[in-house]
Amino acid sequence: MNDTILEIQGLKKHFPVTSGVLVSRPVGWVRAVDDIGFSIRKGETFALVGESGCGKTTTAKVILLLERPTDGSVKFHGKNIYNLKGKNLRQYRASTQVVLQDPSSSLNPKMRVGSIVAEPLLVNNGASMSSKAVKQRVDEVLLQVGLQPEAARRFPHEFSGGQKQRIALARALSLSPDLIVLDEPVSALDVSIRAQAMNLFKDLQAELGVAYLLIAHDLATVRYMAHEVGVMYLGRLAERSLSEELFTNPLHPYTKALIAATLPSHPDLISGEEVLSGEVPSPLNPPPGCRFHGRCSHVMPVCREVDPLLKEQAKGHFVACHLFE
Amino acid sequence: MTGSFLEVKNLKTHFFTRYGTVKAVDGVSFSVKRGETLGLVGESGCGKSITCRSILRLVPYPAGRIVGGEILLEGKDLLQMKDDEMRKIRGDKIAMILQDPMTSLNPVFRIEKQLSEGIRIHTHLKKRDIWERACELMKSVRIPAPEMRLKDYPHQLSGGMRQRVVGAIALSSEPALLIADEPTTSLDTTIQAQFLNLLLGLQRQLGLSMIVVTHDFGVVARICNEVAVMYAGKIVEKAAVREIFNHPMHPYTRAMMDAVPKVEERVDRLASIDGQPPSLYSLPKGCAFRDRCQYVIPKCQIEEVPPLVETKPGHLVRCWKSEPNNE
Ligand SMILES: Nc1ncnc2c1ncn2[C@@H]1O[C@H](COP(=O)(O)OP(=O)(O)OP(=O)(O)O)[C@@H](O)[C@H]1O
Ligand SMILES: Nc1ncnc2c1ncn2[C@@H]1O[C@H](COP(=O)(O)OP(=O)(O)OP(=O)(O)O)[C@@H](O)[C@H]1O
Ligand code: SF4
Ligand SMILES: [Mg+2]
Ligand SMILES: [Mg+2]
Repeated sequence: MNDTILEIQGLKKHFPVTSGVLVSRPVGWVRAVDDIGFSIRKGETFALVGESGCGKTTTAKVILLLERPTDGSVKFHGKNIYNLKGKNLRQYRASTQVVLQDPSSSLNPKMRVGSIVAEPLLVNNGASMSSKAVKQRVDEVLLQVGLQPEAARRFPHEFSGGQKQRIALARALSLSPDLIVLDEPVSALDVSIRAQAMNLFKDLQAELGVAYLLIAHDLATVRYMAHEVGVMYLGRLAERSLSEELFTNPLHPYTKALIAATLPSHPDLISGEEVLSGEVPSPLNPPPGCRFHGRCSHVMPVCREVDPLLKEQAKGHFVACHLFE
Repeated sequence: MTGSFLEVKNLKTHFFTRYGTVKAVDGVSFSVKRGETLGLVGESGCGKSITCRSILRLVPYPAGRIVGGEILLEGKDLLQMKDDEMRKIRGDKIAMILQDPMTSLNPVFRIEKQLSEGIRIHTHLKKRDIWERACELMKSVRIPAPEMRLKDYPHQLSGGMRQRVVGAIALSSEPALLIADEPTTSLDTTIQAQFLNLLLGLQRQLGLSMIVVTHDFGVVARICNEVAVMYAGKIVEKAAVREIFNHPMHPYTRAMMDAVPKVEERVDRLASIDGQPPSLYSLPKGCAFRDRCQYVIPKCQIEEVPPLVETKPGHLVRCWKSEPNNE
């Protein structure tokens, strides 16, 4: 059985850094995403975690056709999305949707909720869908996310943060996508509302079989939501594994440090591990060898020179670190 | 000297608006011991920031006014002080780290200027010595190459560094009490852990008392000695940190703790709190949490707001159900 809906291989996205006022010429490259691979399966959640600037959103943008990759491929049911045309391209666009972090800024304040939710339907189906069918679909998805159909007549500002996030989700669901990118979907919500939102995402996944690419920096959220996790550092995957395996048996020193830095759920559970010092170096000139070596407490001479490869340590558990070569 | 460094008694700060009166802080009492940290927890709009601003007498005027209570700093009531006396307290004894690090740094001045200001007012040092002191402070918040960084403008620093600079500025007046309003909310997990460790280290070194505002019980677990949980302008539970994690009593506190995912263990299903916090413009009669509470009884709807009762030594709860005869 092959449930893979999206397969990412050797993906790179480098941004040029330019100088010069009249004629700008590239003087270097920001290696935002630098050779990563993973796949997303039907009805599952793949999470990308890592510190700010490690390339999570850029990866998502490539998947959403918002940025062209520098190299590598993203295959949707076996076909590279950057070669899709016509009907196939439309079908891909319809089947990948996105919910962003800040619900207040992602919804057009001048549009009624009904139009916001209906927009993808109209863009994708053009005139072929009757207005009655559109309205019916809007009502249906509003109910699915726990809002009443009369919400359609109101404007975004009349709703709380948690409700706005539901509206954004309803919009993403309107075309029955296979995949929804959730970029920090709960971090802007009030704590008491976050659990509601996370449970809703999970319930809809169970009900509709939609897959999520979850981008989050809070590991506790990731442990709750994800089936598989990729830990990113400076454009690379440091470790990739099924979620429970990753949290019970983290291997990469960076993953361990991230887990240790996560706030404890009880004062007796404060981690004894040393807190990671320093900050992520610039992706403009990533350090040679292992990109993490400047912050790693296990650094060995080889780490400064040789870039470790992502290797399978246990079934489905990959790590890029010389400690495991 | 033992006992409390700061004592807040029955503080009331209200906003008088066109739409009615908002009791943002409504009879809040707590104390902070010397060298200890109090956590002020609760969700957005419950009155945490206004409580902190009230302590510094920096409530947005004229809409907001402190309408009652006492704020005793080493026994002296800040609310009775003259404005110039209060200014001195602000520059000297109490420092505050604001919620948003960008708004507390002025984008058009170099870090050096912003940091020197506090030192100059506080110490009357000469120019050369001020510069040295600024470097020292930058080092104490672990900013590498401080001599160079002092010449930077705020936008040239990363978010984590900016927050540490804000910390350095707060410490420049050698305060005895540091109020940190959501100091790490916008930061990466690792940078957050670094900053909280930094606060703990400085506290040990300088004997600081701290009030830390947060909506995150993880921050409380990490650095607080005592916790006050706020809901709709009132404290609903207060206890020592281990006590509240081991025996949370208020339904709101319990619900909040169950609604947060854990990194240490797998949780199958988070309990979620239904509904949203009530509007302070139209609080329901009775207990403010009643519409979201799992344990609600008729008494919660009819009677006035439940009193804050000491159910065991040092553990205060505002809930009819936690009264012994309702168990
Ligand atoms: N259009 C662009 N031009 C140049 N550099 C870019 C561009 N977009 C992103 N970058 C850089 O690429 C790197 C990765 O950015 P990205 O937004 O993917 O990070 P992220 O992991 O999503 O971080 P965050 O957690 O802060 O959202 C960063 O260094 C960023 O500055
Ligand atoms: N200038 C103002 N005019 C009217 N009401 C105000 C004003 N400032 C604050 N309030 C009200 O006071 C209440 C408490 O606000 P406060 O800023 O203390 O909340 P908070 O607990 O710090 O929330 P957050 O976690 O969002 O920072 C809010 O419900 C708000 O509506
Ligand atoms: S390869 Fe070396 S530097 Fe990199 S994480 Fe492993 S031990 Fe640390
Ligand atoms: Mg991002
Ligand atoms: Mg606040």
